[in-house]
Amino acid sequence: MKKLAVLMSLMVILGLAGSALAEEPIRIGVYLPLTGQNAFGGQLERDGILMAHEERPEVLGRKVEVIVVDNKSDKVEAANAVVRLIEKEKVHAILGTYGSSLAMAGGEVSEKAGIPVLGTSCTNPLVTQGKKYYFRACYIDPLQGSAAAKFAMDLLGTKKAAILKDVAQDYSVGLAAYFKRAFEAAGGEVVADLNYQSGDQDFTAQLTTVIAKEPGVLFIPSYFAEGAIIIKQARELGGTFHIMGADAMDNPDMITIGGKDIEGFVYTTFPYAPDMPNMSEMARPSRKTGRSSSPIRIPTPTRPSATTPTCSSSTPSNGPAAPIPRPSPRPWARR
Amino acid sequence: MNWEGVTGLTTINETHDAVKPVGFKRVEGGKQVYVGSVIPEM
Repeated sequence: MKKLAVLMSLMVILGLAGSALAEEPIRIGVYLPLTGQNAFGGQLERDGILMAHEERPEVLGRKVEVIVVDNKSDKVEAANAVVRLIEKEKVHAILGTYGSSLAMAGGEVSEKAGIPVLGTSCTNPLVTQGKKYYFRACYIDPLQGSAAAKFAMDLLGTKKAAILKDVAQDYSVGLAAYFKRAFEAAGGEVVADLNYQSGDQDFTAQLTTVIAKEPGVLFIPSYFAEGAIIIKQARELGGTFHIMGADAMDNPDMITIGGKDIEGFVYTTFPYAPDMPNMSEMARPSRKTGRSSSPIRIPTPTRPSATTPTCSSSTPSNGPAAPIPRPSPRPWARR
Repeated sequence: MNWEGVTGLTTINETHDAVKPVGFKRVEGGKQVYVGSVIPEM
């Protein structure tokens, strides 16, 4: 997922950096969580950026240099990383970062320095709010939450939802709020809105509460590692409701962690997939590299509402016509 | 600002945010399968 967004992002940031002196290489700074809690996402994005750089090492006849800095999944380190890119590495523009909380921290530094940044997958609206120099290549959470709520009601066929969010992550808190607002506005009921903290491993207490409330869907705006554990434990406890997540779950390792229990899990993501039709011409060089990502072209989007985002269609463009059945109870489930 | 990227046409709006469809995937048979996309309304 992240690889594809950054491939596109790099092309734009190169344009932003076009005012640099002609004889200089264009220096693109990248700050990402390469270690720590969010390393799984940051490493994917780094790979995407390096893939783009490998395929297009020059733009407008000038060499492009990419300088990658680890923000260690930490807000203070994210700010420090941007300081380093600007003051020491003298970059013309910056890409990053995975993790909205990290992007908000880094954005304060880049804003004061007047260095343009293109966010890769930071979906919280606050990342760009009031910023002159911060842009982003991904959609924002009000849209994502609204789309997830519509999907839950119209395709999963439920009007009762539960939410389990990570209160340590701005991304998770914000997206949960947008989902809840859209779900309730559409006539649904959120029967449980529960919390956990990044790093938690045991979600038994929250899931026991959720199961008792008998929702039709559990929405988890989680990062994939914890999300996969939540799904696994929900099924082990006997939860048969649908489980939905969001873009931070779009990682193949979630299947490795969740195993059979993650079957049927639905999540919002950026609009591409290897099995989509009408692949973009820009994606073809990526396929030639033999790398795992295979970005695909999508239909032209329309603009969202400036206030309360809604969806023009409750049915995905090539999605199933009938509601998706709930998972079957597990005979071995703990009760 | 508009540009054609690997995930299709992206528009950057007045708040510096990308305007894009929201995609959906589902885990089926141990694989991440693309279900479709929802296009945000004007």
